[in-house]
Amino acid sequence: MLELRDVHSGYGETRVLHGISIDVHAGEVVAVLGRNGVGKTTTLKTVMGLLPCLEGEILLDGRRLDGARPYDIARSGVAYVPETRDIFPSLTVLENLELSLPLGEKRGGGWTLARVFEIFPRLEQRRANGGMQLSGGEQQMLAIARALLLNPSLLVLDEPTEGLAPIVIGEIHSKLAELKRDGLTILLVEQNFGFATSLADRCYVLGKSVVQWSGTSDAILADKDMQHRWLGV
Amino acid sequence: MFADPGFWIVQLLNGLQFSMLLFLLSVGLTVIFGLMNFVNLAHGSLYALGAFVGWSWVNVSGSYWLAFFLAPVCVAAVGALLYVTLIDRMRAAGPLNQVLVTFGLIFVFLDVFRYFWGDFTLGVDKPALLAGGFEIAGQIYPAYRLFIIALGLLVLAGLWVVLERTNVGATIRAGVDNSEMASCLGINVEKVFFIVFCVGCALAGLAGVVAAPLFSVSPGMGIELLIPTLIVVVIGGLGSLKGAIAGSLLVGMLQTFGQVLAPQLASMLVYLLLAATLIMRPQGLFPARA
Repeated sequence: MLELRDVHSGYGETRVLHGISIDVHAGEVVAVLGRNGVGKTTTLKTVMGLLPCLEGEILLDGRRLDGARPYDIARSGVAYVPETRDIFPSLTVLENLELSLPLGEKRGGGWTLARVFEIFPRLEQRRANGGMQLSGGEQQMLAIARALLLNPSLLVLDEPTEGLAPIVIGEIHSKLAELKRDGLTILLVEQNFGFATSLADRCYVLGKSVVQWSGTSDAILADKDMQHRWLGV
Repeated sequence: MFADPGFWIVQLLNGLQFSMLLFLLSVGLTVIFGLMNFVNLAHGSLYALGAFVGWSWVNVSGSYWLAFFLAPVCVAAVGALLYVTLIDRMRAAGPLNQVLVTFGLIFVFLDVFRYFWGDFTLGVDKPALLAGGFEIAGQIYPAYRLFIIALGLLVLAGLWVVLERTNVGATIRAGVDNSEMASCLGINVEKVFFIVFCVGCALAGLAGVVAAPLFSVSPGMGIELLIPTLIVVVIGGLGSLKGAIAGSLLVGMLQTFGQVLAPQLASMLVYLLLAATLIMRPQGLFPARA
């Protein structure tokens, strides 16, 4: 479904990615792992068109995404949940969700406000609250719910567990597992090794700006030497 | 004089009328800044353009009301042209370049006004409907000024409803908060920018055509009002409707009452308010991005 072929990217003059190739097949959950600063977030931002793809190609169902603008990428079915969640502070919870409706309804699919509230009942209770009055966990749920309402074919998640309490991480994990059972394709970046490997079918490990290792989650769990070398776990 | 309630009421109305004019100008400037991070110093020139175009429509058609509706449309069209040819390209250029280019535009507009309308002071008659006055607390108060107050309040209420209570407004606020994230939700933020820019220009044009019968129409009129407008935007907080309302009222009232109560100090008061705001609350009273 999503294919990164030898992607180079970076901020201004600084190159962060030196040729990364990642494949995500339909219905699969793929995790990108690696230490801080190896370019995991950069990879996702490049997929979303927020950073330029300087070399290489990004394909979604065979169509080029690189060079497209973020809103075109969103329209072609990629929904993004950034590391910082990026809830709009001057909008209420409901307004944050409603922003996704025009595109979500045009794309069509099973995601409606009612279904989102069913999965995240807390958001319905807090629908009239301002975006900044939410706890970290609620913000994460809102960011995921907002992305789902776009009826995406691919959900891109950047560190969904960051800064959350273990109990909330457990909750997010079970929601994402539910989405996976539903057949949603997910590309996930995580620092939380246990969280990522228990959710993902396959993993890519970034190090020194390139892909150092890739394989199934079972294989990565078995390869202690690789874990030590590239993840420090 | 000070014991007469009529005096206070008239000054209050004068202050309110000036505040509304400032509001029409500053709201466009502040929302454009909040949304696009773009400093448009030529905003005052668009106000003057509204007055000149209004004058011409009055002269051509003899109807003030035709000018009243057409001048904002013409100014919005000029704004759209500016956006496509210049401003869109300057978006990524950084504030210094933007300030320099739009500062240059002030002089371009100045010469355009002189070329087409001459370096004169032109007058526009008030529409016959509003030529009279109302008796308020023993004084005759011009109907036209009351009309400006009503118009300002109407625009304010309209903008508030659109920005706070509609999906379009939520989209604009989302763009002000975080344009990257908004575009990741499939929103064409550039298109939103363009529309908001044109509406801001139309409001500047509206302020111009409304001010024309009150003040004289001259090439420099935009520059005169640019400074108080910028002060309103800074005091109110960049990018927020609430800030534009509060800032306009503060500056409008201070300037009006300053001129009658402490004429020697009047020209300084607004700057003192600006300095005090910058020291105590540099982000302004109601910043859009807290």
